[in-house]
Amino acid sequence: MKLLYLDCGMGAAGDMLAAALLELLPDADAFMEELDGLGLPGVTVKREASVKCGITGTHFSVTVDGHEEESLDHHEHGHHHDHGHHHDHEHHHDHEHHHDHAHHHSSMEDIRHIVEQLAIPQTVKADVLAVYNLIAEAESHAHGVPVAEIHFHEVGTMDAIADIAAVCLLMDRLAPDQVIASPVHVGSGHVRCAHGILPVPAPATAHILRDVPVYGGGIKGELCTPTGAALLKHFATSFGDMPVMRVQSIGYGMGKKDFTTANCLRAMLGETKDKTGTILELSCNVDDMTAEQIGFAMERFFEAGALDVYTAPIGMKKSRPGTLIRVMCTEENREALLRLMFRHTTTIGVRETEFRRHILDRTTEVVHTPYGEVRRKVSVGYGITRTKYEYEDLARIAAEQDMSLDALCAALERE
Amino acid sequence: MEPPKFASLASQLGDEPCLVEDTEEMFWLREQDDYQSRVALGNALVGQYRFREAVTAYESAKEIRHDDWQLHNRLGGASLTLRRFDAAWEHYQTCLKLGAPTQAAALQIGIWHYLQGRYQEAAEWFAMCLPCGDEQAIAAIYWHTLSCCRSGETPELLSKYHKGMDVGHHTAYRLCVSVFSGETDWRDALEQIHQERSELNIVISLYGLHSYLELIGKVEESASCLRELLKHEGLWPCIAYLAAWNDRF
Repeated sequence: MKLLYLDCGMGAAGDMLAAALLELLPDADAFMEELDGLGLPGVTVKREASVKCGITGTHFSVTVDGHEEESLDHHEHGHHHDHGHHHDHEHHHDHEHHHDHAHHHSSMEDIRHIVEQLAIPQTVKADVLAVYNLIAEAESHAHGVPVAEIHFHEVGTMDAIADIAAVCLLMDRLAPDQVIASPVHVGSGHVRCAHGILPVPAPATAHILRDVPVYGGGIKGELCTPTGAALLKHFATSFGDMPVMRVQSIGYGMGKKDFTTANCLRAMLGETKDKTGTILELSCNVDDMTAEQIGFAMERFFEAGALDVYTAPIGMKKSRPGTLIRVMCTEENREALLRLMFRHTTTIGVRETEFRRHILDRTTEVVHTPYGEVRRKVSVGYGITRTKYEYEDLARIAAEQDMSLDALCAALERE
Repeated sequence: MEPPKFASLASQLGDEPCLVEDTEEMFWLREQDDYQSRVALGNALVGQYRFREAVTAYESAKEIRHDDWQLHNRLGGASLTLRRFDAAWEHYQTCLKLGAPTQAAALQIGIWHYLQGRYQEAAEWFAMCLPCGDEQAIAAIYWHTLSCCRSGETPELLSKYHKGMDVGHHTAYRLCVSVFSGETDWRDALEQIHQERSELNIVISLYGLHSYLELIGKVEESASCLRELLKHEGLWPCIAYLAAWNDRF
């Protein structure tokens, strides 16, 4: 399985993600030319080598009509102008610079119109719009106004569209089966933006990152921007530690600023074992439940997607006879089944074990017989082919024909 | 009472407290841990003449990146203003090792020597500033000539001066250089200084005249220029002022 792992230990921003993914492509120059030809008016993209804390990576920048625009990814950090007071030259200037940047204000409808004109596949357009929707919903929530009334102060600029389109196009090109992102370092302190003074992470970013593992860390500054957060939320299939994987290529996407830690987002593309061969076993011992209560609980576990539920009689402490309840499930159902086990059993602790499961490929075919249609399961693999009629069908026909199961099976075998 | 906008000489070179407050911009810069913000904070502090705190801000930036020669140049400048000569020297040396063009640090290193009375070495460094644009060149000629006057050498850079130089806003240097070259009489120059509205130009011009008059034996007139110059303490970080402050005894 093709896996993309994103290390967000220094947060995430649109340009950092684009740069990191760009490094994974075998022909980045051709991709850059393609980006320039997307049809974004006046937009030029540039990639250049950047070194942070001794690590070489790529910095991705966008210029609009020759000017590097201030997108949300940079603007919220405040305007820091390096005036360079060379007092040695006896220059005493009163540096009261008032910057009235003309920010573009675009509605979601404007964004949709621009994206529709881009020379990119429909699926990529859908990704771009989905990312913008996440941002729009977050802004809507933060400001308490409907999405339709949201006007993007900075993210609506061509710069941001270029960043998001670049990431979406790169994801389409790299086509990972699975994207795992690390817990996101969002930074700490406060930032100034068009709306005033906001805590880090900014409200829109915090809203987008709900249910995503994040941490503040010790660095003062906004490390994860709304654009970066939305891209992660849209593309990451899960968040967590890097799994066992064979890494084939690594990309470093550099941020604009320098910190004591290398300000980069690292993308690792490689192969991992297919997780379909892994199952979990949740188990607990109980000595104070009736058989009816246990039966009721087992039914609830099956309803919630357990692969199997079984019990075994055991002898417990204080010489009490008890029951071992085992629930087999996939990772996806783990959380729901844990909740059900605590709800429907008397246990105060559930054990969890991961197993590798080797399985035969299974398909179901329909066999036409003198008794009607009967479903038959065919299992293939490891040099074995095995078939088996579905019990429910056999039971139904045997009842209808007033036959025993054995007699019916023998009759079907003769056909 | 309104807090002062600029730190006093006594607060930076003496023991008086610095009463200047942070601007809002500086407050926000302190909220950021990145290199660019720390350098920007240092620059903002220099803008308020808070060189001691600027050095601290620049040093904290150096913890993130120590390979930026421009930062070492700034550190050198701030340290030199604070008369921390050893530290300033270290920074200028690092600045050059990191690949700074010699011209970028030559004027500062020249000043480093000048303020310590090493006029011959100062003249050598000021000479390294050329060739450059007229605006920078006129400053180099000014300081080179003053250094040579004090070391007893011939101010050869003075021959580079000509009337048509496009000195930009460095008019005070030109006025003094025109006196050094004999083009303008020092009395006329003094008259022009009295008409000057820019305090910075007054300080630079008075220092040039003070040094020139000292060289031609006009001791009382020279001392008068120095006394008048030192009244402009509000511009104390200006090199001409620091040099005058050095010469005051």
